[in-house]
Order: sequence, then C-alpha cells, then structure tokens
Amino acid sequence: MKETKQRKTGEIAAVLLSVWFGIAATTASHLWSYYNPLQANPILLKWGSWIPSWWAIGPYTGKETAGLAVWLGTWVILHWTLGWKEVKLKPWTIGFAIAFLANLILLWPTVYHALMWWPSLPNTLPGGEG
Amino acid sequence: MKSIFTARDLAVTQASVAALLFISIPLFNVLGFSNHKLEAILHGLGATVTVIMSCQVLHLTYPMLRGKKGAAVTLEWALWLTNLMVLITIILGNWLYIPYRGPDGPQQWLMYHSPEVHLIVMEYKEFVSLYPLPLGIAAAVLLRRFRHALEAGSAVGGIVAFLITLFWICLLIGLVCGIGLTKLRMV
Repeated sequence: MKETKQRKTGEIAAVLLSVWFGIAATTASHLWSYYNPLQANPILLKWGSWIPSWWAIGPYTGKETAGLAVWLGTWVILHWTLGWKEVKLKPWTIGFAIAFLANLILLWPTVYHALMWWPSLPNTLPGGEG
Repeated sequence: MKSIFTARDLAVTQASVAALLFISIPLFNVLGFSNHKLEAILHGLGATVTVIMSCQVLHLTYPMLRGKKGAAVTLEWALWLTNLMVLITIILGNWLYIPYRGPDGPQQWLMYHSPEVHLIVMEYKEFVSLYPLPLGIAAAVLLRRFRHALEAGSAVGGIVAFLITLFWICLLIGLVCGIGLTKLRMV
C-alpha cells in the first residue's frame, strides 16, 4: 500500500489519551464499587451482562466493560476531532507517562484504601469484592 | 579452527529452552490437586506464552528504533499475534475468576486467612493485566498508520517503543502476581 498522505500527529495524541481514559475508567469504576458497593455493584453487573457468565464473574465484568467502552468510544471521538490537528508530541508523551504512572499508584490497594477505608474483615459477602 | 556455534545459534538455543521450560510452569498443575484444572492450566499457559511472545516483541522494537528496513513490519506482525494472545488470556482469566470467587474458592479462603493477598495482590493484578490489551493495540495501530514516518530516531517510533515497554511491564506484573497467588492458594 502506498502512503501518500501525511498523517497528523493529533492521531497519536488521540491514541494515547483514549488508552488512558479507558484505563482510568476501570480504575474509577473499581473505586466506585469500593466506595459505594450497594449502588455501584448492581449497575456494574448490568453493564457487564453482555459477557457470558457475568453473574458468576461479578461486578468485574462491568469494570471491564466500562474500560472497553470508554477506550473505544473516546478513541473514535478523538480520532475525528484531535486527529485532524498537528500537536506537539513531547508534552503529550510526557503527560501520558505521568498519568499512566499516577493511575498505577492510585490503583495500588493500600493507597486507595488509605484514602477511603478498608473493608470490614473477614468479608465473605457474596457479590462483594469484585 | 573457527567456532562451530554462532552467536545466533546460542541465542536461539537459550530462547527456545527458556520458552519451553517456562511453559512447563503452569503444566505442573496437571499433577496437582486443583478442582478447576482446565481453567487454571489454560489461563497459566496463555499467560506464559503471552509473556514469552511479549519479550520477543520488545526485542523487535530495537531494530525498528534503529530504522532497519522491514523491522517495523515484523514487529507489527508479532505484536498483533501477541495482542490476540493477550485477549485470549484475559478471556481465560475471566473464566478462571468464576471458581476463584465462587463458594469455598480461593477468594473466601484468602479473605479469611490472609486478606492482604486478595485485597492487594489480586485486586491490583486483575486490573493491571487488562492494560496490555489497549496498550498493544494502540502500538500496533500506530505502527500501521505511521509506518512511512518510522525512520531512525523518529518521535513515533519512540512512542511505539514506549507503549510496548509499558505493555511488557504490565504483562509481567500480571504474571508475577498470578504465579505468586497460585503459590499461596490454587484455584
């Protein structure tokens, strides 16, 4: 295939941003299900109910679905908006690296449990801790 | 006399033996006491094969970064195949998650005996192990769409290699935590 058209760097920014939004969506839905399980878990189960055996896998299916939908949805939107523009790649790359690391730190359970609370132990509630 | 082995022979031998023995780690479960052997072995095999392939992918980024002709095409192919393995292993992981959190499963056992293992290791691993899917697909799509701009030292090449490095790191976090969990409690 011959490439004649020069692609815009905005496409790269769109890729980076949408990947991070998808990752952040799984983290956000996970923190939500710890912060308010009674509200969050039924909704997460509903979102995940397209996955076979969602009822046995639990609210995790909803968190996966949130990540997948946000990643692909924002990718399409950003590709058709940001993708037409030329952007400076250096700040986008550094921004992505910092944001990715920040997510990895926030997702570490002792960090978010310190910010919210630890679940009461032993927790053997069915449907909890997805 | 010249050596009968080339550097390439020795590197290929090391890689083959490492891959073969590495794959045997989840196969120990065949002789084990798991109630869900099939799910456990398939997820373990998926994870080890994926990590081995991701190591090759990471190695293939170096000639791409140097701008070697044809390197980007080889890298892209290996990356798409690895992405497919990532997806399969995630699906198998979801399947294995059913007995993990089921009645009398490892989650209940760990929450009772050593809650940190579930609350920290498992809760972290189950999300970080998902990240390689968007990271790998993002890198592969950029390789495809910017293949004409991939000369040595290009910004795009650097970003692709960075995404693949994160991809590999997240896969390794998943593998190490996964093996660690099975050391403590089998599904």
